[in-house]
Amino acid sequence: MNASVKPPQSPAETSLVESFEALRVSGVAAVQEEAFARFLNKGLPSRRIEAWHYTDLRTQLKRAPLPARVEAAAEAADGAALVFLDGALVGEPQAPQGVSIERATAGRRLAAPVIDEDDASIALARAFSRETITIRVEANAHCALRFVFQNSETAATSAAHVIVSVEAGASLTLIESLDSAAGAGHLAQALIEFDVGEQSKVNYIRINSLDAAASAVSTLGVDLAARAQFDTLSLTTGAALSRHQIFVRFAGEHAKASICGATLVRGRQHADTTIIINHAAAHGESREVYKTIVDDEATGVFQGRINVAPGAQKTDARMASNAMLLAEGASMYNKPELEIFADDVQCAHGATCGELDDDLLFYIMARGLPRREAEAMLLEAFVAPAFDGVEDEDMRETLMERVRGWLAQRK
Amino acid sequence: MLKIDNLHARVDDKEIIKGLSLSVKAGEVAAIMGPNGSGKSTLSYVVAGRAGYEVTDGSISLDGESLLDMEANERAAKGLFLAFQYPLEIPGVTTMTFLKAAMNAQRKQRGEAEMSTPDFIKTVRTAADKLGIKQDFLRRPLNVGFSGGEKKRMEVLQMMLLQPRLAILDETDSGLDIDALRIVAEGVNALRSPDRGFLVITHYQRLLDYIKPDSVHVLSSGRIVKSGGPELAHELERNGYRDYVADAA
Amino acid sequence: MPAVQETVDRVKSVDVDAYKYGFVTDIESEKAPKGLNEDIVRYISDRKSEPAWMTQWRLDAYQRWLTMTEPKWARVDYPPIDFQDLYYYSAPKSMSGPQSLDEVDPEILKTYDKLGIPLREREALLGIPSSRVAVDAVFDSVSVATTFKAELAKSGVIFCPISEALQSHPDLVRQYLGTVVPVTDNFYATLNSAVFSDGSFVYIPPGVRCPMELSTYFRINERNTGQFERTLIIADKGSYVSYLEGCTAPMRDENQLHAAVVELIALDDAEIKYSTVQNWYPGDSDGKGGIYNFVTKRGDCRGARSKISWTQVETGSAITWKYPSCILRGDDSRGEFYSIAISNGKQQVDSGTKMLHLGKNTSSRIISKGISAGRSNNTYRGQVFAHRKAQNARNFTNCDSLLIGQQCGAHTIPYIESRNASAVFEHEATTSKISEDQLFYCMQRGLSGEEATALIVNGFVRDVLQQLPMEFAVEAQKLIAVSLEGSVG
Ligand SMILES: Nc1ncnc2c1ncn2[C@@H]1O[C@H](COP(=O)(O)OP(=O)(O)OP(=O)(O)O)[C@@H](O)[C@H]1O
Ligand SMILES: [Mg+2]
Repeated sequence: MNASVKPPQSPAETSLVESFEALRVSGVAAVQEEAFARFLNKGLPSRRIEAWHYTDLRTQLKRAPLPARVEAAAEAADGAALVFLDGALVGEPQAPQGVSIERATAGRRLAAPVIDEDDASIALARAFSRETITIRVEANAHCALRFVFQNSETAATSAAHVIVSVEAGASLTLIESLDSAAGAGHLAQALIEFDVGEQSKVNYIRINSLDAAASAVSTLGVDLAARAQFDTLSLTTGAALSRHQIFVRFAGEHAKASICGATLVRGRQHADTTIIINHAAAHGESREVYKTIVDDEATGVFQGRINVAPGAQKTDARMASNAMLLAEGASMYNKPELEIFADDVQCAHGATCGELDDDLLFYIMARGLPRREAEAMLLEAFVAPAFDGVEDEDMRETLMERVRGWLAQRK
Repeated sequence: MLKIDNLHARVDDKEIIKGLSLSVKAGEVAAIMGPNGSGKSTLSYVVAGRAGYEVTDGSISLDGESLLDMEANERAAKGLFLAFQYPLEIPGVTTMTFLKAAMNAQRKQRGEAEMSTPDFIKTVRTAADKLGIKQDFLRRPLNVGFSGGEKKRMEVLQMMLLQPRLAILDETDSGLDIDALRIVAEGVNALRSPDRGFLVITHYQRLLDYIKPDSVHVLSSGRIVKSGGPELAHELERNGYRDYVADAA
Repeated sequence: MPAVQETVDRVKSVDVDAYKYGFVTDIESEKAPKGLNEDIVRYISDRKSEPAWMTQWRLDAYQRWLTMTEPKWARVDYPPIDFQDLYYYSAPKSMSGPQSLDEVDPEILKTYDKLGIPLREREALLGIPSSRVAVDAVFDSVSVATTFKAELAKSGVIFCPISEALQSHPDLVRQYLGTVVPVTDNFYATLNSAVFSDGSFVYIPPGVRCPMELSTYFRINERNTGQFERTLIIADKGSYVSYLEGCTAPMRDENQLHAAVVELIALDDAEIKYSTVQNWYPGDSDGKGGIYNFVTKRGDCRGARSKISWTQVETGSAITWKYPSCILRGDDSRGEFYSIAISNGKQQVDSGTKMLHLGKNTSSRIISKGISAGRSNNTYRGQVFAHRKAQNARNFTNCDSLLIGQQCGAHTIPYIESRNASAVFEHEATTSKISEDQLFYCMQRGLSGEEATALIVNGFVRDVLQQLPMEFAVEAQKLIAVSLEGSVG
């Protein structure tokens, strides 16, 4: 019962120590050492920490592999793509007009960090990040970028740290993909921080299709200046164990954010999305729409908290999380929270959890469709609203195609 | 009885009423017409004392007493009634409960005794019947889920019960079907008396065919730009506001 | 539009001191020495001439409690409680157990008169028949009177202080006590198990519809005294009972601890309706004094088709920590939770429910209305859980919060956990303020700002008020107006 008594190291923690030892061999920066010490002090997050109640990394993460060897090879990346192989940026990427990309040793911080540095998973990601990639989008520039996170055949513990600074009036479209070689038990970590300047606009799409043997722990931090707009969407079908946490701060007035996603899991996958929206300034508008489909013995977790600070009047915040369970062994944990300290606000959340509507299924089957197709039709319709905000038709179709692909693989 | 003199008023730092003067005598029915956005509803809110509507100059008085320093409920107790262009919904509060609370609050402020429950129910039922409002509406939460026309009838019902000295009707005719329009007009006409005044805001001659006004005023860009007798309404119906909008600019 | 300046000013001068039940009854009492140890536990058991198993039960609980720490997860904040600086037993000197009303100290009778609680059956009988309510009055640590016992006995209903039940129906108590809230459940429940002094015991025999409302009225009078009452209600097969609970305490500068345990058991086809109007002293406007209300209430729908419904109107206490819950064990059983929680001044409320769906076709419904004013914080915390085997479980949850003024907080923390694909859970929550437009509309019709606010708030909580028995609903409605006094412009 006494919190000061630290539990003995779990196998995953022991392997992380070994992994970090191996990293030291090729040299680590002081900030990495410091971050690892902070991590060790806390240990892997367990269910006794409220924010990790449904994803107990201490017990659920079995083993962390060693880090990958530092590759000397410099594969040329195509166009405006930043390719990360096992967490490390490959080659010297070409920056498009209006963008600068800078590589530096690890340790850079956002001027006003929005992520929770008390979180042990963030300390761990910092410890394993060898460098910080800083991307600057100049004021009033309009550009598109891609992040390609690849993980090789040899399982590795890795982390990438990227800071994206979008200056006033600029706009950025960013598409990120995560993949890994079949059967490799990677532990892929990422820490991506956005500094979104006044009146600038970011559109960020993230597709996690890691192999079902990999684990992924990632954090996204977003700081919004006045009248900035940040739209993000993530589609998660991959990883045995994934946790994606999103911290958004409304630092300036009249900012807008839309955080949407679809999570489709099966087998024994465990997928956790945790969102914390901090409305610190007035007239902010936030929207979250998350759809989760859980099949077989998989587990879905959605935690979403809306904080409204004193003085953040006229905040308009809405959050919806809907889950569909397809099999007897499936589980869903939903924790939508409101924490409101300003009186002139409109805040709401809704959460539902259920199975496919029998009447609808029957109706469609009566028109001649086989059960699986009828189900797929309904499930597609269930997921679609999460993609409503995607303006690019082709992109939306690509996303839906992936959803269909996932549905087609149902047993 | 109602006297508005050189009124200037602003909302959210935007001046909307710009030097408006108007008076309504006891027994008089005055009609206000004017293009969309000219400030008619704003005028009614300013007179009724809505928060956020700031009077920067001029005066408003009822029976010689300035209204400007009074709360909205004090003005109501003085006999001012506003039938809203867009009546509000009050979830969970039944129409009956609301009517009783309003009636007794006004009586209390005037130092009168509360009405007994049986008397009250009887009065409400009679008035509702006259306006063709079904009894079960009285048990539903006020205006919640009511149609546009039903809400307007409910406004008139409240007016009949509260027996104001001066009633402002803000587009009470819009949204009413033909029969309802006649019923509502009859309700207003029944209330017409030598010691009661009306300020009727409308876009259509139709209503004025039923409620014959004594005077007609054209409101444009926050000012009264033309006043006349009932014939002015007919002229507007034929020619529109063209002439007056230009005048005001 | 933000609250008008006047609202803000009034909030600043909020006068929680208007608490109407804050008087002290001047009466001599017999107290156990201050502090807690095995001897005190034995002393309490001894005063009640309890059977040996009960004494042992308490001592086991005490030993267990020594190994526990206070829960810290709730969104409440208070200085550490010195558990050795409290009296754990206090009884009016004139009393040595339940007795006839004629022997009750007239000062105590006067207290209940002042509180408007009818203890004289004859007087109650003169009233409207429908408002007949049997009352068990608990004054500090003991039950001082229970009315209508004889009449209830005619239909086989047992309604008496739990201390008396331990004498007259020890087997029933032993069979059920601690089966819903285990001795080891949580810090305060375990403490209660060790030192509980009195409370009510109800048993409704099979097929009986309890002929009148039962109620317990709790009053803390003595200084520095913890109140640890224990209520146990058993509704046997096919029976029905509606039970009401009310509470008040004098205004005192120091905080007083109230750690009650309520256990409800509904067997096949039985129904229990449990209503609370909680109006403990909330402390003054600076947060000085007031009751710490750390209560464990749980109902067990043990039988098939059983139903337990909790309704609460929470307006009092400096701190409320309370989650009346339902274990939906029986197939087709149903749990309900209806709550109005109002906080003003510096009150802190962390309250909600748990609906644990274990059986098939179980259903639950949660309606929570939170209103925060002044500098208070009001949290709804609820859990809805479907077990792997809870086929076709259903839950509907609606949590609405209303903020009055800019210095208070409203929080919603639901845990929605489904491990069954056929379970359907729906949850919705909103936070808003009273609209200025609605206020203006009401004021245009003649209502003052305060009247208009009370009217709109009453509309806001109507769904819950309707769940209360008539007599309570009226009282609750008045209470809502009183607790919001001074908070609105
Ligand atoms: N809160 C506000 N802030 C800024 N402008 C406002 C506000 N309220 C009203 N206005 C503007 O004031 C003008 C007058 O509005 P008002 O509602 O009084 O018009 P109206 O004459 O009643 O129109 P209608 O015939 O359409 O009912 C409009 O241009 C309107 O947009
Ligand atoms: Mg208008």
